[in-house]
Amino acid sequence: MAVHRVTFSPSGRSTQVAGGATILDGAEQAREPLRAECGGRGACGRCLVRILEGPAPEYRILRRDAGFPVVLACLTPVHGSLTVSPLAEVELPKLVSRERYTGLAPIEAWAPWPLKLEPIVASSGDADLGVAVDIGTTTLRLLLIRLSDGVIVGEAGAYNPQIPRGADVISRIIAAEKGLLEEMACAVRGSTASLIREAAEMAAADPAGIRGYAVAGNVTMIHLLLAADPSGIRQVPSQPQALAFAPVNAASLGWPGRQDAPVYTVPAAGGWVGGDIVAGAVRAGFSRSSDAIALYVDLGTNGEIVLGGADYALACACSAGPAFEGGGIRCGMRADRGAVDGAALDAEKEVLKLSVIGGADPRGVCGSGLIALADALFRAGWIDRGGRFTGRLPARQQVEGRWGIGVRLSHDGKVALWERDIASLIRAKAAVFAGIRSLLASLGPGFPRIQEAVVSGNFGRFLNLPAALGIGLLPSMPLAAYRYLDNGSLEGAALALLSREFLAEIGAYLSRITYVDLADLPGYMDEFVGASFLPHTHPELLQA
Amino acid sequence: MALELKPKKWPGTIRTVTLGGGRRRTLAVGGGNALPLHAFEGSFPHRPLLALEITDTAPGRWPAAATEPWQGVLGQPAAAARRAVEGYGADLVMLHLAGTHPDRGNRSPDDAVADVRAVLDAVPVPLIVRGPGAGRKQNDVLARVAEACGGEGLVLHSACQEDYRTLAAVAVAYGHVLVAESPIDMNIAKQLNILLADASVDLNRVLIDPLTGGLGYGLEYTYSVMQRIRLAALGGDPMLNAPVVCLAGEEAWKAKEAGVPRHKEPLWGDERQRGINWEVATALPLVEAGAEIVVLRHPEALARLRRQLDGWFAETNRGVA
Repeated sequence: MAVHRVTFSPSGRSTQVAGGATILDGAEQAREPLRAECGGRGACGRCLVRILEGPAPEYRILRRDAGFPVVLACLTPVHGSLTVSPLAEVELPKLVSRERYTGLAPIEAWAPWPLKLEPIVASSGDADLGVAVDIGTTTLRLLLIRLSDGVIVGEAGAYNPQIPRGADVISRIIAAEKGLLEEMACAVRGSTASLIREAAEMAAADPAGIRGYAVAGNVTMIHLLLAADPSGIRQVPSQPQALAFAPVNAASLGWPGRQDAPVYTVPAAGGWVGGDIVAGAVRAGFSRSSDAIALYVDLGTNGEIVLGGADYALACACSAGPAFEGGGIRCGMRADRGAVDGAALDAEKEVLKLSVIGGADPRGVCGSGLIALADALFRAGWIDRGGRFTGRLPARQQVEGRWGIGVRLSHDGKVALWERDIASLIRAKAAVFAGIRSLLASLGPGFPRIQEAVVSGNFGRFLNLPAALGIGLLPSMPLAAYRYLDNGSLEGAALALLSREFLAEIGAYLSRITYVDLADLPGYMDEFVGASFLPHTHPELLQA
Repeated sequence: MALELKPKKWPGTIRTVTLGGGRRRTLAVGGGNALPLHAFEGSFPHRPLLALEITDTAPGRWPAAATEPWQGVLGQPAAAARRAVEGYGADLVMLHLAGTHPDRGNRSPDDAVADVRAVLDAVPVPLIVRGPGAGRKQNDVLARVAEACGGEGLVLHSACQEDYRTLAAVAVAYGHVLVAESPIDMNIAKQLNILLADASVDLNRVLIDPLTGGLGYGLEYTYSVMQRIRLAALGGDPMLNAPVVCLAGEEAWKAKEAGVPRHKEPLWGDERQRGINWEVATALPLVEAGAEIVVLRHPEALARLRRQLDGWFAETNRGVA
């Protein structure tokens, strides 16, 4: 078989691949960090490369850039030696760091019931520290906590460095199956280690004083951290290596601290409902809520749902797609500077008012902005109940392009919300609402009433609850019945670090959670199609 | 001891939709207030209608047994319509403008208007006009036909969830009935009707096509979705109580089993009878599930269904008396 050399410019990385392999295969072999957030399915359009030298199959050429053919690396086979240069910069933007937790004592601020400061690792003096880590598919966040008094002394956050290997967990699992498991494990360990140093520097503390770690994350993230093969997770039925892992030594992950500092990971309820959700639900007080039926929803790429009371709860995950995190949206972005995070529409004056993080002209739209926009457009009648633009969209707000019709958000029209973006959001909200309905139906006959709800997710400053109810993402209840938890996973991990009782409670609560696979529920698809409408095909269901 | 029936009373009624109008004969469908054929529980003011399908150009994919009754008039819509109504006793006719499809002749909207006019002049019954079903061309053709034949009370087949606005507008503007087609899904059927209502379409001028799966190709799926639609409608859902039209002939004759000649499958028997049987076996359950209009291809299938309906409704009348 013919073998060809693929060289990446300007990095100079190079490898040999068999004829017919894709340029992306070459990038993975050469360890060239090319972004392939869809996992190489030709969907995300991030792995664009310029072919500087060598043969380019004509049918794969999207355009020419200064005379060089531009192709998608994931779809373009190598038929001769190539020199290519990636188009997109791979550097992830720096996460806007928000000093909001420093100085706080989690035991006082977050404990859902009176907890005693009793760290899961021994501590002897003020130099002894602990770290709570939340490993999200998108972001990493950690808190550095002084164990003697349980006060947060430092914090840091960053985007998950595995993002170039896939934006969602499925793409990451596929990447791991392709042999990138070790690389992704190293990336997240390394990135976390540098965050620890950053937080320690901020706190003027010595990381050598770290006595232990509590880590929460979804099942895939924990597998990738521990370099455990995650391929079973995406099989049906989901078969993770383990739901609960024994503590490992921090040094084995390359993390700073005392020689034998342990790293605890919060156990998971099922392949798709991880320790991040369990920690969040216990942090929200679900394990001790009275007879009430409570709902915990984490809105991310996977919408995870826990529903029930202290004695018995059901948990499931529904595949919402990345819309809530600004993914899969033409102008989507994370809740970062320049992101539209709120919208109001004066229908009479036909004026769309946007709220933008950091002010100024918008660079994109984040999840909460998307929800607020959809709600505002729907209320004003600019989109119909199927999410398509109507004749009421004023001409000056309208943009036209290769995506069809859109509503202009920035002055130059480069930031716009298109019909297909709204369709992505409707699919995402339908997946979540259908998941909640399906769990309610599984709980027993007659759809018991939900008395309180806790919403968590990466929504930046806030989730616009009235808008979320307006588009039928969450069940209609008085707003007072809703609580927003900014980062249930991180807060739960901090409590687990500081309280043996809390960690024990997580284990006990897990035994009362039944994990439900929505794919096993015959009614789910029907609920999903019914919810794929604004606000719902059967609006009476929203009037709970 | 005498059997005592406890009839169930439903809060909802199927809407009555009038087809045709102006100088044209009118036919009404719908109006029932009980599950299909449950005459002991309610009343059915209008019997299901049986339509025959004719085409603008000679159909390329109909098996020989399906084209045989139309010999001499294939591709001549006016003559075919006359044969369908006068010769074969169809209640109404569906003209399928298949030849306007970009891949099957790409005839122009004006050609389509001429065909529709010819059929309207040839027969006095209401007319269903089925477009080529291809996105923009569907809208171009049906909008032109709707405009040129205003006031004839045509049934325009069909609008779908992805593309309903043009046809909703012309149906309202020119007084036609609109068929709302959904892909064997009750939720989407309802969503489309809500969208049509929001677009100012009078739901008394809408028929549901739930999309038919032929015998062996999803018939039971269509049957159960129709049942759910009907249960919701009778339960009082005003967005699902439109009468239902099913293209039984088209789906039945698509089946391999309906068309394979005997010399290829000797054990399957005579293909003519087999095809007709297949069509009847597809259409009959659809009537039982509540179809108000069934569109057929073979006149013998129509005759057999007619006999069955006559029998049922004779008993119904006895029951009512």
